[in-house]
Amino acid sequence: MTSLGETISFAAIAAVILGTALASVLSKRTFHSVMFLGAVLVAMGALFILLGSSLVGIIQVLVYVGGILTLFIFAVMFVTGDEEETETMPSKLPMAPWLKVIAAILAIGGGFWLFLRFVVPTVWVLVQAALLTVLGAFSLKALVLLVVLLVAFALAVAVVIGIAVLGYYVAARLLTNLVYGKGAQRVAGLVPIVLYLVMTAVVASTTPWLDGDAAAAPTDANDLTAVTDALFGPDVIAFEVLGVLLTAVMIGALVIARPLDAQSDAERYSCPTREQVAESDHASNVKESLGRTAAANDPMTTRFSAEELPE
Amino acid sequence: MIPLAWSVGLACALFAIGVFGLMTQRSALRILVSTEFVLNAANINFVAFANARGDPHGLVLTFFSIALAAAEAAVGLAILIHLYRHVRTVDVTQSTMLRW
Repeated sequence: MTSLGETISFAAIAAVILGTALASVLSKRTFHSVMFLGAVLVAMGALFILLGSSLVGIIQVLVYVGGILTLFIFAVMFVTGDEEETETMPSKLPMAPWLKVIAAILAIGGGFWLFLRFVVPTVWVLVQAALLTVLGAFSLKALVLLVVLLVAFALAVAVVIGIAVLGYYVAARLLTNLVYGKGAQRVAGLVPIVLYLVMTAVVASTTPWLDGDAAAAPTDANDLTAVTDALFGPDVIAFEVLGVLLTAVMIGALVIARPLDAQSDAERYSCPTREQVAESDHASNVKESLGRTAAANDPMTTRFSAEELPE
Repeated sequence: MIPLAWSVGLACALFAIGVFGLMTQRSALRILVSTEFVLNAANINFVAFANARGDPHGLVLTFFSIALAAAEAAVGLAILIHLYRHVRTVDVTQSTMLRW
Protein backbone atom coordinates (compact mmCIF):
# COMPACT_ATOMS: atom_id res chain seq x y z
CA MET A 1 0.00 0.00 0.00
CA THR A 2 1.12 3.52 -0.64
CA SER A 3 1.30 5.46 2.58
CA LEU A 4 0.04 9.03 2.74
CA GLY A 5 3.55 10.34 3.30
CA GLU A 6 4.84 8.58 0.19
CA THR A 7 1.93 9.91 -1.84
CA ILE A 8 2.51 13.47 -0.72
CA SER A 9 6.27 13.18 -1.27
CA PHE A 10 5.79 11.76 -4.75
CA ALA A 11 3.26 14.44 -5.66
CA ALA A 12 5.57 17.21 -4.42
CA ILE A 13 8.62 15.82 -6.23
CA ALA A 14 6.65 15.25 -9.42
CA ALA A 15 5.33 18.80 -9.26
CA VAL A 16 8.85 20.17 -8.80
CA ILE A 17 10.24 18.05 -11.66
CA LEU A 18 7.53 18.90 -14.15
CA GLY A 19 7.28 22.55 -13.12
CA THR A 20 10.99 23.25 -13.33
CA ALA A 21 11.32 21.25 -16.55
CA LEU A 22 8.59 23.36 -18.14
CA ALA A 23 10.19 26.52 -16.77
CA SER A 24 13.53 25.41 -18.24
CA VAL A 25 12.02 24.85 -21.66
CA LEU A 26 10.00 28.06 -21.64
CA SER A 27 12.38 30.48 -19.90
CA LYS A 28 13.74 33.35 -21.95
CA ARG A 29 17.36 33.30 -20.83
CA THR A 30 19.66 30.35 -21.41
CA PHE A 31 21.30 30.64 -18.00
CA HIS A 32 17.92 30.41 -16.26
CA SER A 33 17.16 27.38 -18.40
CA VAL A 34 20.32 25.66 -17.18
CA MET A 35 19.56 26.59 -13.56
CA PHE A 36 16.09 25.05 -13.88
CA LEU A 37 17.77 21.96 -15.33
CA GLY A 38 19.77 21.77 -12.10
CA ALA A 39 16.56 21.94 -10.07
CA VAL A 40 15.11 19.09 -12.14
CA LEU A 41 18.24 16.99 -11.58
CA VAL A 42 18.23 17.50 -7.81
CA ALA A 43 14.52 16.63 -7.67
CA MET A 44 15.31 13.52 -9.73
CA GLY A 45 17.80 12.47 -7.08
CA ALA A 46 15.12 12.92 -4.43
CA LEU A 47 12.71 10.85 -6.53
CA PHE A 48 15.22 8.01 -6.83
CA ILE A 49 15.71 8.01 -3.07
CA LEU A 50 11.93 7.99 -2.58
CA LEU A 51 11.64 5.04 -4.95
CA GLY A 52 14.14 3.22 -2.73
CA SER A 53 17.34 3.54 -4.78
CA SER A 54 19.39 5.82 -2.61
CA LEU A 55 22.59 4.75 -4.36
CA VAL A 56 21.35 5.85 -7.77
CA GLY A 57 19.95 9.04 -6.24
CA ILE A 58 23.29 9.98 -4.77
CA ILE A 59 25.15 9.19 -7.99
CA GLN A 60 22.56 11.19 -9.91
CA VAL A 61 23.24 14.27 -7.82
CA LEU A 62 27.02 13.76 -7.84
CA VAL A 63 27.44 13.14 -11.56
CA TYR A 64 24.62 15.20 -13.02
CA VAL A 65 24.62 18.21 -10.75
CA GLY A 66 28.31 18.08 -9.92
CA GLY A 67 29.62 17.29 -13.37
CA ILE A 68 27.20 17.79 -16.21
CA LEU A 69 25.55 20.92 -14.85
CA THR A 70 28.97 22.49 -14.30
CA LEU A 71 29.84 21.73 -17.92
CA PHE A 72 26.62 23.37 -19.04
CA ILE A 73 27.26 26.48 -16.98
CA PHE A 74 30.77 26.75 -18.43
CA ALA A 75 29.32 26.46 -21.91
CA VAL A 76 26.78 29.20 -21.13
CA MET A 77 29.59 31.46 -19.96
CA PHE A 78 31.49 30.84 -23.21
CA VAL A 79 28.62 31.07 -25.57
CA THR A 80 25.74 33.29 -24.61
CA GLY A 81 25.31 36.84 -25.72
CA ASP A 82 22.78 36.59 -28.50
CA GLU A 83 19.42 36.00 -26.93
CA GLU A 84 17.24 37.59 -29.58
CA GLU A 85 15.15 35.24 -31.63
CA THR A 86 14.25 35.82 -35.23
CA GLU A 87 10.52 35.69 -35.70
CA THR A 88 9.21 33.13 -38.14
CA MET A 89 6.99 34.54 -40.81
CA PRO A 90 3.48 33.14 -40.63
CA SER A 91 2.51 31.30 -43.78
CA LYS A 92 -1.02 31.12 -45.03
CA LEU A 93 -2.87 28.28 -46.63
CA PRO A 94 -5.81 29.30 -48.81
CA MET A 95 -8.34 27.60 -46.52
CA ALA A 96 -10.87 28.78 -44.00
CA PRO A 97 -9.74 28.12 -40.41
CA TRP A 98 -12.69 25.91 -39.49
CA LEU A 99 -12.11 23.87 -42.62
CA LYS A 100 -8.51 23.35 -41.59
CA VAL A 101 -9.56 22.28 -38.11
CA ILE A 102 -11.87 19.68 -39.57
CA ALA A 103 -9.21 18.55 -42.04
CA ALA A 104 -6.63 18.18 -39.30
CA ILE A 105 -8.95 16.24 -37.00
CA LEU A 106 -10.06 13.97 -39.83
CA ALA A 107 -6.52 13.36 -41.04
CA ILE A 108 -5.03 12.65 -37.63
CA GLY A 109 -7.96 10.61 -36.37
CA GLY A 110 -8.17 8.74 -39.66
CA GLY A 111 -4.48 7.98 -39.50
CA PHE A 112 -4.76 6.50 -36.04
CA TRP A 113 -7.90 4.57 -36.92
CA LEU A 114 -6.26 3.12 -40.01
CA PHE A 115 -3.22 2.19 -37.99
CA LEU A 116 -5.18 0.39 -35.28
CA ARG A 117 -7.70 -1.16 -37.63
CA PHE A 118 -5.47 -2.33 -40.46
CA VAL A 119 -1.75 -2.06 -39.85
CA VAL A 120 -1.64 -3.89 -36.53
CA PRO A 121 -3.76 -6.88 -37.67
CA THR A 122 -1.90 -6.97 -40.99
CA VAL A 123 1.43 -7.17 -39.22
CA TRP A 124 0.11 -9.99 -37.08
CA VAL A 125 -1.15 -11.97 -40.07
CA LEU A 126 2.10 -11.27 -41.86
CA VAL A 127 4.11 -12.62 -38.96
CA GLN A 128 1.92 -15.72 -38.90
CA ALA A 129 2.36 -16.26 -42.61
CA ALA A 130 6.09 -15.76 -42.36
CA LEU A 131 6.30 -18.29 -39.57
CA LEU A 132 4.20 -20.71 -41.60
CA THR A 133 6.49 -20.31 -44.59
CA VAL A 134 9.67 -20.65 -42.62
CA LEU A 135 8.55 -23.47 -40.38
CA GLY A 136 8.28 -26.08 -43.10
CA ALA A 137 4.69 -25.83 -44.27
CA PHE A 138 5.92 -24.21 -47.46
CA SER A 139 3.48 -24.12 -50.34
CA LEU A 140 2.70 -21.96 -53.33
CA LYS A 141 -0.41 -20.75 -51.58
CA ALA A 142 1.52 -19.61 -48.56
CA LEU A 143 4.06 -17.84 -50.78
CA VAL A 144 1.35 -16.00 -52.71
CA LEU A 145 -0.32 -15.08 -49.45
CA LEU A 146 2.96 -13.77 -48.13
CA VAL A 147 3.62 -11.61 -51.19
CA VAL A 148 0.08 -10.25 -51.22
CA LEU A 149 0.27 -9.42 -47.53
CA LEU A 150 3.65 -7.79 -47.99
CA VAL A 151 2.33 -5.51 -50.70
CA ALA A 152 -0.79 -4.74 -48.69
CA PHE A 153 1.30 -3.98 -45.65
CA ALA A 154 3.58 -1.64 -47.57
CA LEU A 155 0.60 0.17 -49.06
CA ALA A 156 -1.08 0.50 -45.68
CA VAL A 157 2.07 1.86 -44.08
CA ALA A 158 2.53 4.33 -46.92
CA VAL A 159 -1.06 5.53 -46.62
CA VAL A 160 -0.89 5.87 -42.85
CA ILE A 161 2.41 7.72 -42.87
CA GLY A 162 1.21 9.98 -45.66
CA ILE A 163 -1.98 10.82 -43.83
CA ALA A 164 -0.15 11.40 -40.58
CA VAL A 165 2.38 13.71 -42.22
CA LEU A 166 -0.37 15.59 -44.03
CA GLY A 167 -2.37 15.90 -40.83
CA TYR A 168 0.58 17.20 -38.90
CA TYR A 169 1.42 19.64 -41.67
CA VAL A 170 -2.12 20.98 -41.84
CA ALA A 171 -2.47 21.19 -38.06
CA ALA A 172 0.87 22.94 -37.67
CA ARG A 173 0.08 25.38 -40.46
CA LEU A 174 -3.32 26.07 -38.96
CA LEU A 175 -1.95 26.69 -35.51
CA THR A 176 0.89 28.86 -36.78
CA ASN A 177 -1.70 30.95 -38.55
CA LEU A 178 -3.61 31.44 -35.31
CA VAL A 179 -0.57 32.30 -33.20
CA TYR A 180 2.25 34.41 -34.61
CA GLY A 181 5.93 34.56 -33.86
CA LYS A 182 7.59 32.48 -31.21
CA GLY A 183 4.25 31.24 -29.92
CA ALA A 184 3.71 29.62 -33.29
CA GLN A 185 6.76 27.39 -32.90
CA ARG A 186 5.64 26.35 -29.47
CA VAL A 187 2.11 25.57 -30.54
CA ALA A 188 3.39 23.62 -33.53
CA GLY A 189 5.71 21.68 -31.25
CA LEU A 190 2.77 20.95 -28.95
CA VAL A 191 0.84 19.00 -31.60
CA PRO A 192 2.98 15.83 -31.68
CA ILE A 193 3.43 16.00 -27.91
CA VAL A 194 -0.31 15.95 -27.32
CA LEU A 195 -0.65 13.07 -29.77
CA TYR A 196 2.10 11.19 -27.94
CA LEU A 197 0.47 11.75 -24.56
CA VAL A 198 -2.93 10.62 -25.83
CA MET A 199 -1.39 7.51 -27.36
CA THR A 200 0.50 6.74 -24.15
CA ALA A 201 -2.63 7.23 -22.06
CA VAL A 202 -4.52 4.80 -24.29
CA VAL A 203 -1.76 2.22 -24.03
CA ALA A 204 -1.31 2.72 -20.28
CA SER A 205 -5.00 2.39 -19.53
CA THR A 206 -5.05 -1.04 -21.16
CA THR A 207 -1.83 -2.26 -19.53
CA PRO A 208 -2.11 -4.73 -16.67
CA TRP A 209 0.31 -3.06 -14.25
CA LEU A 210 2.04 -5.52 -12.00
CA ASP A 211 1.11 -4.85 -8.42
CA GLY A 212 4.11 -3.89 -6.35
CA ASP A 213 2.89 -5.72 -3.26
CA ALA A 214 1.78 -8.84 -5.07
CA ALA A 215 5.07 -9.08 -6.94
CA ALA A 216 6.90 -9.10 -3.57
CA ALA A 217 10.41 -8.19 -4.62
CA PRO A 218 12.49 -11.37 -4.32
CA THR A 219 15.78 -9.60 -3.62
CA ASP A 220 16.50 -6.08 -2.54
CA ALA A 221 17.58 -4.38 -5.73
CA ASN A 222 19.04 -1.49 -3.77
CA ASP A 223 21.54 -3.53 -1.88
CA LEU A 224 24.94 -2.18 -2.78
CA THR A 225 26.33 -5.69 -3.08
CA ALA A 226 23.55 -6.66 -5.49
CA VAL A 227 24.38 -3.72 -7.75
CA THR A 228 28.11 -4.29 -7.62
CA ASP A 229 27.62 -8.02 -8.18
CA ALA A 230 25.74 -7.22 -11.35
CA LEU A 231 28.21 -4.54 -12.36
CA PHE A 232 31.27 -6.73 -11.96
CA GLY A 233 29.52 -9.99 -12.79
CA PRO A 234 27.25 -10.32 -15.83
CA ASP A 235 27.57 -6.68 -16.89
CA VAL A 236 31.34 -6.40 -16.66
CA ILE A 237 31.83 -6.31 -20.44
CA ALA A 238 29.44 -3.40 -20.75
CA PHE A 239 31.20 -1.71 -17.87
CA GLU A 240 34.56 -2.04 -19.61
CA VAL A 241 33.13 -0.80 -22.89
CA LEU A 242 31.74 2.19 -21.04
CA GLY A 243 35.18 2.92 -19.63
CA VAL A 244 36.71 2.83 -23.12
CA LEU A 245 33.90 5.04 -24.40
CA LEU A 246 34.43 7.63 -21.68
CA THR A 247 38.17 7.72 -22.41
CA ALA A 248 37.45 8.19 -26.12
CA VAL A 249 34.94 10.92 -25.31
CA MET A 250 37.44 12.75 -23.13
CA ILE A 251 40.07 12.73 -25.86
CA GLY A 252 37.50 13.60 -28.52
CA ALA A 253 36.11 16.52 -26.54
CA LEU A 254 39.60 17.88 -26.01
CA VAL A 255 40.37 17.58 -29.71
CA ILE A 256 37.11 19.20 -30.76
CA ALA A 257 37.25 22.07 -28.29
CA ARG A 258 40.93 22.89 -28.71
CA PRO A 259 41.71 26.42 -29.85
CA LEU A 260 41.85 26.89 -33.59
CA ASP A 261 45.26 28.48 -33.13
CA ALA A 262 46.77 28.35 -29.68
CA GLN A 263 49.05 31.36 -30.12
CA SER A 264 46.43 33.70 -31.51
CA ASP A 265 43.86 32.57 -28.95
CA ALA A 266 46.22 33.51 -26.15
CA GLU A 267 46.71 36.92 -27.69
CA ARG A 268 43.06 37.40 -28.47
CA TYR A 269 41.84 36.75 -24.97
CA SER A 270 44.65 38.49 -23.08
CA CYS A 271 44.11 41.92 -21.55
CA PRO A 272 46.73 44.63 -22.03
CA THR A 273 48.95 45.07 -18.98
CA ARG A 274 49.18 48.33 -17.07
CA GLU A 275 52.59 49.06 -18.62
CA GLN A 276 51.32 48.52 -22.12
CA VAL A 277 48.48 50.94 -21.50
CA ALA A 278 50.81 53.49 -19.97
CA GLU A 279 53.37 53.45 -22.80
CA SER A 280 50.77 54.03 -25.48
CA ASP A 281 49.71 57.61 -26.08
CA HIS A 282 45.95 57.30 -26.15
CA ALA A 283 43.62 54.72 -24.69
CA SER A 284 41.69 54.71 -27.96
CA ASN A 285 44.92 53.87 -29.77
CA VAL A 286 45.32 50.77 -27.61
CA LYS A 287 41.76 49.73 -28.21
CA GLU A 288 42.10 50.15 -31.94
CA SER A 289 45.37 48.23 -32.22
CA LEU A 290 44.03 45.46 -30.01
CA GLY A 291 40.98 45.20 -32.23
CA ARG A 292 43.19 45.04 -35.31
CA THR A 293 45.41 42.28 -33.94
CA ALA A 294 42.36 40.38 -32.79
CA ALA A 295 40.85 40.56 -36.25
CA ALA A 296 44.15 39.66 -37.90
CA ASN A 297 44.76 36.75 -35.57
CA ASP A 298 41.31 35.27 -35.86
CA PRO A 299 41.41 32.96 -38.88
CA MET A 300 37.63 32.65 -38.99
CA THR A 301 37.11 36.41 -39.02
CA THR A 302 39.50 36.82 -41.91
CA ARG A 303 38.08 33.92 -43.83
CA PHE A 304 34.39 34.77 -43.43
CA SER A 305 33.79 38.42 -42.83
CA ALA A 306 30.29 39.33 -41.74
CA GLU A 307 28.84 40.01 -45.17
CA GLU A 308 30.28 36.97 -46.96
CA LEU A 309 29.07 34.37 -44.47
CA PRO A 310 27.75 31.45 -46.48
CA GLU A 311 23.98 31.35 -46.50
CA MET B 1 5.73 1.51 -2.33
CA ILE B 2 5.01 3.94 -5.13
CA PRO B 3 2.76 2.38 -7.79
CA LEU B 4 4.61 1.66 -11.01
CA ALA B 5 2.07 3.57 -13.09
CA TRP B 6 2.80 6.82 -11.25
CA SER B 7 6.49 6.67 -12.03
CA VAL B 8 5.84 5.76 -15.63
CA GLY B 9 3.35 8.61 -15.91
CA LEU B 10 5.89 11.06 -14.53
CA ALA B 11 8.53 9.74 -16.92
CA CYS B 12 6.06 10.09 -19.79
CA ALA B 13 5.32 13.71 -18.91
CA LEU B 14 9.02 14.55 -18.52
CA PHE B 15 9.77 12.88 -21.87
CA ALA B 16 7.01 14.95 -23.48
CA ILE B 17 8.47 18.16 -22.06
CA GLY B 18 11.92 17.15 -23.30
CA VAL B 19 10.71 16.40 -26.81
CA PHE B 20 8.75 19.63 -26.83
CA GLY B 21 11.96 21.46 -25.96
CA LEU B 22 13.86 19.59 -28.68
CA MET B 23 11.29 20.64 -31.26
CA THR B 24 10.94 24.27 -30.26
CA GLN B 25 14.37 25.47 -29.11
CA ARG B 26 16.73 27.14 -31.54
CA SER B 27 19.79 27.50 -29.33
CA ALA B 28 21.96 24.39 -29.49
CA LEU B 29 22.69 24.72 -25.78
CA ARG B 30 19.02 24.55 -24.88
CA ILE B 31 18.53 21.61 -27.23
CA LEU B 32 21.18 19.80 -25.18
CA VAL B 33 19.32 20.75 -21.98
CA SER B 34 16.14 19.25 -23.45
CA THR B 35 18.09 16.08 -24.29
CA GLU B 36 18.92 15.75 -20.61
CA PHE B 37 15.20 15.73 -19.80
CA VAL B 38 14.61 12.90 -22.25
CA LEU B 39 17.49 10.88 -20.78
CA ASN B 40 16.23 11.49 -17.24
CA ALA B 41 12.76 10.30 -18.18
CA ALA B 42 14.34 7.02 -19.27
CA ASN B 43 16.21 6.85 -15.96
CA ILE B 44 12.95 7.18 -13.99
CA ASN B 45 11.61 4.16 -15.83
CA PHE B 46 14.77 2.15 -15.21
CA VAL B 47 14.75 2.83 -11.47
CA ALA B 48 10.99 2.32 -11.09
CA PHE B 49 11.01 -1.05 -12.83
CA ALA B 50 14.17 -2.17 -11.05
CA ASN B 51 12.51 -1.49 -7.72
CA ALA B 52 9.21 -3.10 -8.70
CA ARG B 53 10.95 -6.27 -9.85
CA GLY B 54 13.75 -6.36 -7.29
CA ASP B 55 16.23 -6.60 -10.14
CA PRO B 56 19.52 -4.70 -9.75
CA HIS B 57 20.17 -4.69 -13.52
CA GLY B 58 17.85 -1.73 -13.88
CA LEU B 59 20.03 0.27 -11.54
CA VAL B 60 23.16 -0.80 -13.45
CA LEU B 61 21.53 0.42 -16.65
CA THR B 62 20.80 3.72 -14.91
CA PHE B 63 24.50 4.07 -14.11
CA PHE B 64 25.35 3.45 -17.73
CA SER B 65 22.74 5.97 -18.79
CA ILE B 66 24.14 8.63 -16.47
CA ALA B 67 27.68 8.00 -17.75
CA LEU B 68 26.48 8.18 -21.35
CA ALA B 69 24.69 11.45 -20.56
CA ALA B 70 27.96 12.82 -19.24
CA ALA B 71 29.76 11.72 -22.40
CA GLU B 72 27.04 13.21 -24.57
CA ALA B 73 27.13 16.50 -22.72
CA ALA B 74 30.92 16.71 -22.95
CA VAL B 75 31.07 16.06 -26.69
CA GLY B 76 27.96 18.13 -27.39
CA LEU B 77 29.25 21.14 -25.53
CA ALA B 78 32.70 20.81 -27.13
CA ILE B 79 31.07 20.85 -30.57
CA LEU B 80 28.92 23.77 -29.49
CA ILE B 81 31.89 25.86 -28.36
CA HIS B 82 33.70 25.03 -31.60
CA LEU B 83 30.60 26.05 -33.53
CA TYR B 84 30.45 29.30 -31.60
CA ARG B 85 34.07 30.04 -32.51
CA HIS B 86 33.22 29.59 -36.17
CA VAL B 87 29.93 31.41 -36.63
CA ARG B 88 29.62 33.41 -33.40
CA THR B 89 26.17 32.00 -32.70
CA VAL B 90 24.65 28.80 -31.35
CA ASP B 91 21.36 29.22 -33.18
CA VAL B 92 21.02 25.95 -35.06
CA THR B 93 19.07 27.63 -37.85
CA GLN B 94 21.95 30.02 -38.52
CA SER B 95 24.78 27.55 -38.93
CA THR B 96 24.61 26.28 -42.47
CA MET B 97 28.23 25.35 -43.06
CA LEU B 98 27.55 21.66 -43.61
CA ARG B 99 24.45 22.27 -45.72
CA TRP B 100 24.81 22.30 -49.46
